[in-house]
Amino acid sequence: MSATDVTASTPTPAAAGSASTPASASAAAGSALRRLAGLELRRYARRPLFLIGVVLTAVSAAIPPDHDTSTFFNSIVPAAALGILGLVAMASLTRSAHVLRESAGVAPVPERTQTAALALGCLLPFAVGIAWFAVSVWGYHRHPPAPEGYPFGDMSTSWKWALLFGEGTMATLGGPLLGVVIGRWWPRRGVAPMLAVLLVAVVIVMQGLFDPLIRVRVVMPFTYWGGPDGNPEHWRILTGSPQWWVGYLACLCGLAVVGALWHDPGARGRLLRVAGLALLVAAVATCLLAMFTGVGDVLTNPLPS
Amino acid sequence: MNETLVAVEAVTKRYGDTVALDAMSLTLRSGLTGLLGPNGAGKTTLIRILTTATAPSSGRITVFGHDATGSLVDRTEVRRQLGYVPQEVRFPRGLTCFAFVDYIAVLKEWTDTARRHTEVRRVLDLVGLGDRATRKIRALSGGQRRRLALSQAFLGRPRLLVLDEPTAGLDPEQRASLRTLLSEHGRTGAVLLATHQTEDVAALCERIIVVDAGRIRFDGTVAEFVATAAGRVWLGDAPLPGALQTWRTGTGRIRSIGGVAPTAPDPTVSAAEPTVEDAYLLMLGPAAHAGAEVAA
Repeated sequence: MSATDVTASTPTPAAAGSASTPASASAAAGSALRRLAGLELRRYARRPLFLIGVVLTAVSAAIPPDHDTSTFFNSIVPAAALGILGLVAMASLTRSAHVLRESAGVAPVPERTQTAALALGCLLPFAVGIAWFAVSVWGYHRHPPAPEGYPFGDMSTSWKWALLFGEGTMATLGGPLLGVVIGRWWPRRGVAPMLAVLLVAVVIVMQGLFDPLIRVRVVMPFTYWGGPDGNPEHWRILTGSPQWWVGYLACLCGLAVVGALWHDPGARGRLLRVAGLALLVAAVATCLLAMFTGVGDVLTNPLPS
Repeated sequence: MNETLVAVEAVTKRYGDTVALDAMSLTLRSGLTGLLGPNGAGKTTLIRILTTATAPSSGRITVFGHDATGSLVDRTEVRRQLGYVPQEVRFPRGLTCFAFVDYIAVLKEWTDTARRHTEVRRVLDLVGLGDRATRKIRALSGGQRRRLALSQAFLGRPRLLVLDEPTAGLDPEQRASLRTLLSEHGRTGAVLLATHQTEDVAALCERIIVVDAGRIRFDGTVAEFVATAAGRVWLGDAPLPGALQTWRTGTGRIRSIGGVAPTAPDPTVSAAEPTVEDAYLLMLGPAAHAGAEVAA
């Protein structure tokens, strides 16, 4: 260790000493948020689980579209590889951020700024999810499904794209955001993988494999909107509105951000309460709309596949 | 230089029925102050309150004119002028030394990348880790990790440095280097050093505060503290009756702390020069012994 230059002119952080007014305080917070978001993005980009997810998603996008279903059943890959693995990766990153904060003892940048930066870091897998969506739409246009396949009939374009976006792309945002929540509230190693397995198990049960669950399946963050049935096999389209379901998933993502920010007692102001309540109301409303609007009854393709 | 930088006024901290700090009052000025006390005495609680990590149950703390128990704006101002090394520092996996300090620098509002990187390199050099900046933390030894934990506290040359057991795990050379660093820092700001290492306090600090059971037992200079043990430390061929602590020294003689001094002249017993440790042991009695054992 060296004592040289200890007493030299004092360097100060950009914001220090100038943040006594609300305007400069918010400028300092904004600047710190941008820097932290950049750091968290880079840290997330180096997570092995994220890299594995990107490779798997890229491979699934490169596979030629299926004759019966085009690109419509590939959504499980980004949902699992960037969503579920992303949940685990982001929970680990959040735990790491928590440890870094503890190492400093106390810091002027509050926990909520760090949490917001982690949430912004989730835009990275989301960007990959959007790229996957674009490739999937392109693949659909190049190789639409056969008339005996899925989707069939005169389903609207928005129905198809909402379905793809909700199943595949929204999961790439929602999974990592749920990881931030888990990392903040249960920062113990092993919790995130355990909850990921539990989530997958519940999603499988709620897939609409059983008729009584077909309508309520949309409460889950991942669900299919159709599938094969019967012998000979006919493709079916399940009830509900994927357009409203995407809205519901967006509300869940918002609620995840609020839930993660809520961990910081200093963040529990009126704005966050109102935002949380509004998102909760919107989530319930959009979920009900996803259940009871759109396709009213299960549709079956008359042509066997 | 005699300006009061930190003022603690009647601060009490309760955890349920347990009183960790009991109406404690003290002030800190520029220079190094040693904070001694057995485990559970309230040292870490005091430090956590001083650094705004925990709120007191009652009382007021002013740091550089800002109310450390007040609004978030005030507490943020305090945090901007503070360097703090907690007693136990965990490190995240996979980070290099540079990345670790760099991240904490952002948490301390060093948002300009070029200036931040310069500052990170400066503090790593300061603790002797400049040549290991790109090393992964997991590849560091225990002493190097402790120095890395210390480095972040020097970011921005804070006016108040609070160190909880900073020399734990450091070898003698590293401890000596840290002493140099802290003594230099103490010339321009306040350094509060909580430790069980009485020799560090004796070597570094102008002032000693001894806390026990949430109260201040002593607050004065090192010389005044050592003077409380004058005439109560003995060297002899056998332990003195009623001595609080006795041990055989390297010369084969028995050092007795406290105890009943011989009433008649005894050529085998002589008064010994007391140390900070002797004074500490005598002041706190068995409680100090228990703390020292745990610390060891």
